[in-house]
Amino acid sequence: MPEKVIEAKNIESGYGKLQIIHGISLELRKAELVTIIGPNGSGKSTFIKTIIGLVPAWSGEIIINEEVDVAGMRPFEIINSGIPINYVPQVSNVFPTLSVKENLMLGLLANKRRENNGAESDDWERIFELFPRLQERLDQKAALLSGGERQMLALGRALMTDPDILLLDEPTAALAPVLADEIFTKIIDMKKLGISILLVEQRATRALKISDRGYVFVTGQIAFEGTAQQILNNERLGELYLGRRVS
Amino acid sequence: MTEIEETYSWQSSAKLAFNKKIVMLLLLGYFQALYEYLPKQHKRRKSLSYSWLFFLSLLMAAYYYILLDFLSWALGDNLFKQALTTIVNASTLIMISVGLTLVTRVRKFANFSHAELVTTGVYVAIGINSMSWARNLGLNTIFLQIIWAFLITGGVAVLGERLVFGPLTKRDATPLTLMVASIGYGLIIRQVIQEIFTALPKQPAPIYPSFWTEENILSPLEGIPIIGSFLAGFVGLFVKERSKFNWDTLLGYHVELFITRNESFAILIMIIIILSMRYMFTKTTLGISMRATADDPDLAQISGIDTQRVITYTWFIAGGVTGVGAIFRFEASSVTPAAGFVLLLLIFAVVTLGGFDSFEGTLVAAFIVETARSLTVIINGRLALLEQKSPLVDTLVFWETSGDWKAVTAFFIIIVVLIVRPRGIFGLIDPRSKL
Repeated sequence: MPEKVIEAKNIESGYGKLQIIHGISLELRKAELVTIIGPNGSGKSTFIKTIIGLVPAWSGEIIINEEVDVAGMRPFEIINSGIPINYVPQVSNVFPTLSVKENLMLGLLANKRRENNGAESDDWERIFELFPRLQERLDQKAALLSGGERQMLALGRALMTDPDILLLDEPTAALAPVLADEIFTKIIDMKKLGISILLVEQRATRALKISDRGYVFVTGQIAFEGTAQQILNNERLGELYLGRRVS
Repeated sequence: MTEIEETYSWQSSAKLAFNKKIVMLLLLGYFQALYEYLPKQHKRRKSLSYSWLFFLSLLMAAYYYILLDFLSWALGDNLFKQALTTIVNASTLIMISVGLTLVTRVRKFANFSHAELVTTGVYVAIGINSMSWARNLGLNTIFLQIIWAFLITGGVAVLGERLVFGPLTKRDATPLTLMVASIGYGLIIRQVIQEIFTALPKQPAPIYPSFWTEENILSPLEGIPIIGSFLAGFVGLFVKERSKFNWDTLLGYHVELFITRNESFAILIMIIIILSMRYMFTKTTLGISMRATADDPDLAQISGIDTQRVITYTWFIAGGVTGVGAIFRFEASSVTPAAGFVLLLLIFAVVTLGGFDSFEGTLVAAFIVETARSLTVIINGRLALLEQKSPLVDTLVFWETSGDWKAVTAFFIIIVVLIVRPRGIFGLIDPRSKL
């Protein structure tokens, strides 16, 4: 297993002619939880979408597992070529008219295409162990799930692809604090399974507390990078992005 | 009792074996009540005592009783003939509408060129009939017409996506732009058809292969023990040019009606299409990929689905089914290159009424629309008769009974249903919450 699971070098990207990301270099190491924070419009989500190929990279390299450059590949090409990465979008992260079971099955299909070893039932078991509530609602349409359940299904769908790397875009957005706590617990659980996680979060303080390292994005560039503790302790960053008041 | 009173009395027209009918209706009511009130998935369990169930059965039975008697007044002896015509019309309407349901769901725009897909399908049949070499080789039969209509119409639909809609979507066209573009694509198809076949009316007339005779097919079946005659009777529907039904007592009515093999095939193929599409949509990887692509193309890509390929398949299947349906929709009439366009509003009405989400919706909606259309014609006919006989009825019925009201009634019902249920009969998600 390589040490650096994602190594992004000098990424530039954006929508149409509007450039959002101005040369970002970032790395994610094995079994690491890294959080990206920053104000609205700083390009956090766009960056994550660029890695998975939803937003095409204009220039730069995105090297996965120190071997494949996925810059310029489309999402289904990345998934189908067997690169063990998956992504959970911030909104519309489940298929609303599909049942919970079908949602998870789609994840499984992506997994089976890689002809991964291990029985199908193992995948289901792992999901139900992490998210017991999904098992109770297998035949329900995803549109009828509550906000928290929906996030769990989104995480479950991504996990079904058996990823080594997971990109999470604000998994706790629009959730009540109690539910957000539950999601954070699940993220820690997933990290314990050995999955490397790149997390974008608005609840910066909460997220940094469980992270190994962090990046602060401002207007499409990295304003600060360091260990989670360094960011938490940095007074100026705290004042600007963590909602902490200067005493 | 005067003649008018006699016609008016619902009771008198029903030649019924009263008790038998009541028992049947009670049973029907009982099952309806069970269906409506027993716990369904996702619904909170409704507790229902047996006395309630009994009361509801009575209520439902009364409802069916009134409905059936009203129908027998309106239709007289034609009830079953009209019912059959309605079923056949609804079947062909389903076949030409269900493709639009599929495309609308996956591509999210109103495809006006769908009308010309219908035209394409029927002109494929006409084209095959007009080619003498195909006739000589026996290649112009109904079965080959179906296959060719499926392939060519599907191809035309895919071509539209490849040349027009796909490139437009890549350039971020809105659904409105795509809709206007689809009108253009439809006009092009229509003009091409007109250039090839001229604007003169032509008949698609399904042709059956020479081996398709009673001696060849039915006689061997008769030899099979026990089920032989039953099987021959069933297959006969599709072999004999016209099969005759003659039941002396069906719910107390005397039934005698004819069904042509084209009509039998229309119903059979509709059932095959609906069942296989349902199976494809719920059980196969392609179907689930289609629904996933319809829900969220980006998320589908992340799940490893090649959305472009799925969209191509969607167009091909939708176009193909439409082409097959078109042959049967026009089997007994002559068509011009504008034939599909005339049906466009009706097709859109069915798809909207059914909700864009499900084939069941399209199915039920097509039946509602066709029933409304034929009932309007019949009731207007009955009223016109009454008007001649009674000045009172003439005064009360203020509208033009000879006018073509069938489209109006159909759309009136559609508007009422949509006001009550904006998402259509089977639509899953409220359109307002989706946008």
